[in-house]
Amino acid sequence: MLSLRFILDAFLWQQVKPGTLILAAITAVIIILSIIFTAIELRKAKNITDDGRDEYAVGPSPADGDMPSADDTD
Amino acid sequence: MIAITRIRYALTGKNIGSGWMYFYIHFAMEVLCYFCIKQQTGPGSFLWLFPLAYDVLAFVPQALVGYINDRFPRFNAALTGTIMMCLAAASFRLGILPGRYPALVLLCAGNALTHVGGAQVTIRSSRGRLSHSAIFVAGGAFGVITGTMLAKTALPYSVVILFMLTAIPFIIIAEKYKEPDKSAAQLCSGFDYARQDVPAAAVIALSCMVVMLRSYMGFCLPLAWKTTSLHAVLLYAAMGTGKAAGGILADAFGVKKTALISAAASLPFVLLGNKIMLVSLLGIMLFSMTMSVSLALIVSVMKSAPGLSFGYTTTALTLGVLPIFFFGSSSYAVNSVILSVFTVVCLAAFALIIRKDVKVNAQSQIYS
Repeated sequence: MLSLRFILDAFLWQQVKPGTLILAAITAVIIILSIIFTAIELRKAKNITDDGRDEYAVGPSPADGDMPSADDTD
Repeated sequence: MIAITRIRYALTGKNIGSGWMYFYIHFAMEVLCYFCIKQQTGPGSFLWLFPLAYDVLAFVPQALVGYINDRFPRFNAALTGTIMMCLAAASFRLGILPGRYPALVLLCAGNALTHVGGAQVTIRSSRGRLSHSAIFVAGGAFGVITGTMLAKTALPYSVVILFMLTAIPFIIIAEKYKEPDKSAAQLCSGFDYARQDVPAAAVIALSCMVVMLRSYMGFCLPLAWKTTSLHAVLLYAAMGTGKAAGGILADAFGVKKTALISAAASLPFVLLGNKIMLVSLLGIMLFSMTMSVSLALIVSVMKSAPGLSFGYTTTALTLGVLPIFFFGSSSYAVNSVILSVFTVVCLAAFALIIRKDVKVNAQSQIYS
């Protein structure tokens, strides 16, 4: 049998409603922030792939145009 | 023989000590937290609000805490968290903070920080292997049941706090494995388990969905055999062993193989083991093996943010548990249908996002 504690404990719900709503709001805010931060991280990762530039690497990257290349030997 | 050799190498991989140290730290942390929660949860109108608040406040913020720790890897989150948890436990006993909810918030914040610290150390030190984080995560299951059992005794808070403090030397030593001078992207470059042709956002969303479903499924497992405290201990021991074994087997035989075989094989065992304890325990072990795989998949697409990746799995775990506070089912038939349908969905998600096993960590160590 499915038990709907939520409905059966209607009286209890009235007592804990504020606390539960605060927890729901905290969860929603943190999830939204996590998604924003994830988007930032994924954009960074995509830029690394697109540019060939690794922002975590030390030194010039091929995207800067100051790496020695085969053309320099001409 | 080759299988044993592979498992042996997975168990003795580089920096595996970080996983074992955090196994103990995680164990001690959950003992303290569950001791406090169970002691504080008595009869009354707040019977289920207190554990609900604990789940939300300790597990959901880990994504945020993880992201901040990703930006500031030198910050010792676990040490700070341990001190906060000890203060919270002392407050429950001595009433240092006004009311028990401020102490609960402090306990949860400490829990979140320590979890993130463990994730940072084990993921960054693992060089792309799953065993480290799997062993770290496994400690929690043993801690939950130990804390729950101890709460039923007359053990004073001071003893549990002292036990938690014994984890501090391990936290300090384990910090050496973190290599904060190197970037997370560099250290996590070995995590390469997600298919390249699937968008990163889809990998994260599907991995989180799998964690949520399996978290919910954990409460649908038919456990008619579980009637005594000893049975509860065995249940949690099987969960913990399964979580650790998932990472070790993934390193030894491949991530995709481990995820698909364990998820599929767990279903008949948990359904047929409703009244047969050994069959059920084997099913629960298999059922628990996918946790580290989901984490590794998210890290694979967000190598620069291991803390945030770990936080995603804990947030998904909490979201999976939330419906249980409101809707539950005790029917074997209903739960069997839920378990079967969700298992198929999880298998499909894993098949879609995990890349073919081209790299077997233990094997690469043997031949290198």
